[in-house]
Amino acid sequence: MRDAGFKRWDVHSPFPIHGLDSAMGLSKSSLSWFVFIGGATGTLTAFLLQFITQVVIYPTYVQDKPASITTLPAFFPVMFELTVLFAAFTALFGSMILNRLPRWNHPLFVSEQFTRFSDDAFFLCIEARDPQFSKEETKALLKKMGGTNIELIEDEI
Amino acid sequence: MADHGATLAEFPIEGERVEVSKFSRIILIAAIIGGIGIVVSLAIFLFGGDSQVRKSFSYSWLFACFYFFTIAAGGLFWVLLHHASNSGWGIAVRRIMEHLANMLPFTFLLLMPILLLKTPREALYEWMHLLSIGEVDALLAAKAPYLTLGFFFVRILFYAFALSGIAYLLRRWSLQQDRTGDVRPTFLARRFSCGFIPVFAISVTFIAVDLLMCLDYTWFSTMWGVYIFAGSALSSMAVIILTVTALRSRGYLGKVVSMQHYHTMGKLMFAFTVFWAYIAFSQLFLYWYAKITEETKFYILRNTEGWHFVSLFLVFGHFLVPFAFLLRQRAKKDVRQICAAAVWVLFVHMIDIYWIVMPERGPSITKGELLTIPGALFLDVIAIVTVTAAMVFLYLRSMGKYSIYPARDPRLHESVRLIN
Repeated sequence: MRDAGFKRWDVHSPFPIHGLDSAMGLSKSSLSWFVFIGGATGTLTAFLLQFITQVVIYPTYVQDKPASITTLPAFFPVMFELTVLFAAFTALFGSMILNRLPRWNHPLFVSEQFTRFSDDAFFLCIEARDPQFSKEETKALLKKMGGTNIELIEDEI
Repeated sequence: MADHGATLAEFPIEGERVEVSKFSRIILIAAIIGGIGIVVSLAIFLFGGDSQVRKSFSYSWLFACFYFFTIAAGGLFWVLLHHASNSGWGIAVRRIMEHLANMLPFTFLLLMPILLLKTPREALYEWMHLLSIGEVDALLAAKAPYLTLGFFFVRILFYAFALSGIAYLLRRWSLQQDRTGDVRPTFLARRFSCGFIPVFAISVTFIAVDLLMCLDYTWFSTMWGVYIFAGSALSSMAVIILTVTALRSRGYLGKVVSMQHYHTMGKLMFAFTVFWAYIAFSQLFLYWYAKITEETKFYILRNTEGWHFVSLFLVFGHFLVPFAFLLRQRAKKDVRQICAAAVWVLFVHMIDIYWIVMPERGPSITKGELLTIPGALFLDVIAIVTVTAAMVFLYLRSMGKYSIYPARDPRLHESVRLIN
């Protein structure tokens, strides 16, 4: 499929298959960048939140030590926690947005045999949006590649 | 392609033997330097008398030996973890970890001069000196049940035999499998590793307490063992990465170790960079910020004059730089970058051990008059070069004796086809 130049296609299997992403020719997800930015935002938020409140607005003395930029280590725990929190939230919501989730239905659910995707069957789905898609030729190609139970699924809308 | 399609048939049943002669130049140089160094060191230890040089050199020697002890102990940790967690990824590099762990008896052997000779021993550990002249203060009296000379030697013997014994047994079983192809050693190692891990943890924790923390018997930290262990696991992973690369550049392990293994090892090195920082920071936070007089002592000394910059260097060099560098996936999958990171990690870990041992030297030997002893850096260089040469010599020689990967491990194939 990858070598035939299709772009909008996906595979479904009942269990994770290692190495599938490189076999499909997928590039590395951009999610890690979002997570990095999310984490950095968390660090900065925590730092500013503590620095502004304890040093700028209301100078605080802890055990006779004035809070300042040299007492930075005292701010670390909150900075660490917020980094993890923001990074985790970005990872969760970022992956949902990138996958366009949540959605209530998917055209594939129309297919009767597709219910077996979580049991014992492997599926390959080519979307009609793909510029190379054509009803007959794609079907022929799938057949040539050894596909069984080839089915055309049309959206109900 | 991630799957390079290697099949079991491609791996000869006897595995790959390393021709030590390919490393003969390094081994020869290491042998010469190590030999000269050991003669010089022994001369200082045996004929140094009561001189400052002999006392200073004891600290240098402890620093150098403990540095290599942490690396070898880390090797043992990876073997144990590997068996206990029943993991398959690292079987291709497990023999290297086993060789590294079997450096442990040698590190104990090298530690002998400073533990057996009275003057070096008492120069290092003030409490031994105070006990021998009978000046027991309140803090020492409170710790008397633990800090006695007899019990100290019993403990050292226990660590030496427990750790070396575990390392020896695990490699023995692994080699047994090489010969017979039997699956039983795999199960045996797995079952016993779960029991060995507590023994390992207790030994490493208390050897760190006995040899490093008790340099100042008035100070204590409950996180000390974990702190040493964190640096230990980190630096030994760096050594494993460098060893694999050295072997691959000489044409070994080509079919067995792939970029996927580098990626995994890089991830572990990254994880332990973070873990070290986490523990180091927690220790600072608990002991420095708690502001209890006898607890802050350790950090006050290390924030005085020049040591302050070493402390700051550790924050950046031991955590921030490798953290930022190893964060990217590409850094872990590129041999050159990961090796640069590994060399850097080994260097900063050395600075870490130096920072632990050396601030105690000046105040201890000169009774608080000097912070550092002039010219002692030269002794440190002698010690670290000697011990490094000796360790490199022994480590490379051990490589050649057996197959460089466990050729008949039932899950070698799984490890070779690792994808993560």
